[in-house]
Amino acid sequence: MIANLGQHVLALGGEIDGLLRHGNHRRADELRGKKALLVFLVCGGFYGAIMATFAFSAERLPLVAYGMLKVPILFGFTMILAIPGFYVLSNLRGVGSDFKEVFSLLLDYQLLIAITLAALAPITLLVNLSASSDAYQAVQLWNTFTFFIAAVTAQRKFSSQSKALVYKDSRHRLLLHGWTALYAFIGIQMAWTLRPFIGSPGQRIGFLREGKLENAYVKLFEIFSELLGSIF
Amino acid sequence: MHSMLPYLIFMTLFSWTTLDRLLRGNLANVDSSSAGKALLSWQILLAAFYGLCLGLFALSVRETPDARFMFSAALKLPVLIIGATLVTLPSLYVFLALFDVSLSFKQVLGGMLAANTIFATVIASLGPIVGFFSLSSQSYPFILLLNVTICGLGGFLGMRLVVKTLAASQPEPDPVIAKASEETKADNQPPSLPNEPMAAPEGQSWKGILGVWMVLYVFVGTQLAWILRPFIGNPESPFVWFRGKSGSFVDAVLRALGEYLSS
Repeated sequence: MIANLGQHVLALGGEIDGLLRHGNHRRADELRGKKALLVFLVCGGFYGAIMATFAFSAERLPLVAYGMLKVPILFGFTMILAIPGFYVLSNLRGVGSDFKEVFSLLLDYQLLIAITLAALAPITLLVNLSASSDAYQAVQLWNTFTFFIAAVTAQRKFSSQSKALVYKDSRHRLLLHGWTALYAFIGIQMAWTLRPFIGSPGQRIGFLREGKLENAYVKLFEIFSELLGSIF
Repeated sequence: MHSMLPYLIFMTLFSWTTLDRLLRGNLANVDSSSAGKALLSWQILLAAFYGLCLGLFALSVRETPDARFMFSAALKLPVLIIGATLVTLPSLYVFLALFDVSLSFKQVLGGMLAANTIFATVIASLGPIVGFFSLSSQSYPFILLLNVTICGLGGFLGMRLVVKTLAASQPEPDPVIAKASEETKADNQPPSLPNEPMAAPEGQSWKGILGVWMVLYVFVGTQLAWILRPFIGNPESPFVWFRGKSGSFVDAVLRALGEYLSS
C-alpha cells in the first residue's frame, strides 16, 4: 500500500516536472483532470496555510485553515469569473475553435502559479518563524513579493507556451494580453475581498475582515490621492 | 408528449447552434424567422441575466438589502435593447436604402437582432465580474463606470458586426471596370491638380452614413437607458421603478467620473 502510494507520488512528481519544463510541444502524459486539480489545491492550500503562520499561536490556528482554503479560492474563483467573458471575446475575434487549446494553457498558468508558490513556501515559513509579531508589514511585503514572483514566472512560461498559438493565428496575441489584464483586474479585487491572508496580530480572527467589503481600486485611488496631497 | 412540450419549445427558442454560429462570425441565415426568434429569445434572456448581476449592488451596499433592484434591472435591460432597436430600425433601413445598399428590411432586422444579441452576450458573459464587484464594493461611481465600460464594449462589438454584415453583403467592384475607370480618369485629368478634393470611392458612402446612424443609435440607447433608470440604484435613494425626467446620460457619466476622481 505504502509502496503503491510512493509510486503514485513519484509519477505525479514526474508530471509536475514535465509541466515545469515542457515548451511548445505538449507531452502525452501531461498533468490534466483530477490530478491537476489535486496538485492545484494542495500547492495553493499549502502556501495559504504557511502564509498564515505569522505570529503563530494556538488561537491563530483557524487562520491557517482559512489560508489553506483562501489561496485556491483566490485563483480558482478569479478564473471562473473571467472565463465566460474571455470565451465570448475569443469567439468574436474569430479564434473560438482554438479555445480548448487556450483553456489548457490557462489551466497550466494557474497550476504554475500554485506550484511556484508552494516552492517558495519553505522560505515564507522561515520568514514567518523568524519575524517578531510587530514585523507585520515586512511579512506582508515578502508575501507580495512571492505572489509577484509566482505571477511573473508563470506569465513567462505562459508567454513562451502561447507563442505557437500566436504563430498559428496572430489574433491570439491581443486576446492573451487581454486575458492577463482581465485576470489581474479581477484577481486584485478578489485578493482584497478575501483578506486577511496573513492576519494582522491586533485584528479579530475570522474568514473575512469585519465590516462591509471594500473596492480595492477605490482604496488604491484614495492612497494615491493622500500621497499626492502630502507631497504637494 | 405533453411533458416534453415545454422542453421542445425551450430548445427551439434558445437554439444554442444559432448563438454559437453568430459568435463565431457566421452570419448566414440570420434573417430567417427561426434564427430571428432564437436571437430575440437569447438577447432577452442574456440581458435579463446581466440585469440580475447589476442589481446585486443593492444587496451589498444598502443597510437593508433590496432585491427589487435585481428584478427591476432584469426586466428593464431587455426592454432597453428591444426599445432601441424599434426606435432606430426604420432610420437604418431608410438610410441604407437611400444609399443603394442591397439589403431587404428583413435582412436589416436580422443584422440588428444579431448585433443586439452580440451586445447581450458580451455583457452577460462579463456579468459574473460585475456581480462580484457589486457584492464586494461600496463605491457607486465605480460600479457605474464599470457598467458603462462593459456596455460600451458590448455595443462596440455588436456594431462592428453590423459593419461586417454590410461589408459582406456589398458586391466586390469588378476589377476590369475599376481598372478601366481609373485609366479613363488618368487620361482625362491633367497631372498637376493636387489640391482638388478627391471624390469618395464607390461603395464607401454607406460607411459614412452608417457612422452617422451609429451616433444616432448610441444617442437613442443612452437616452432610453436614462429614461428607464435606475438600473443599479444610487445607495442614497430608495427603490423606485422610474426616476422621471431630469438631466441626461452624458451629464451623469461626467458627474460620476468627477465624484470618483475627487473621492
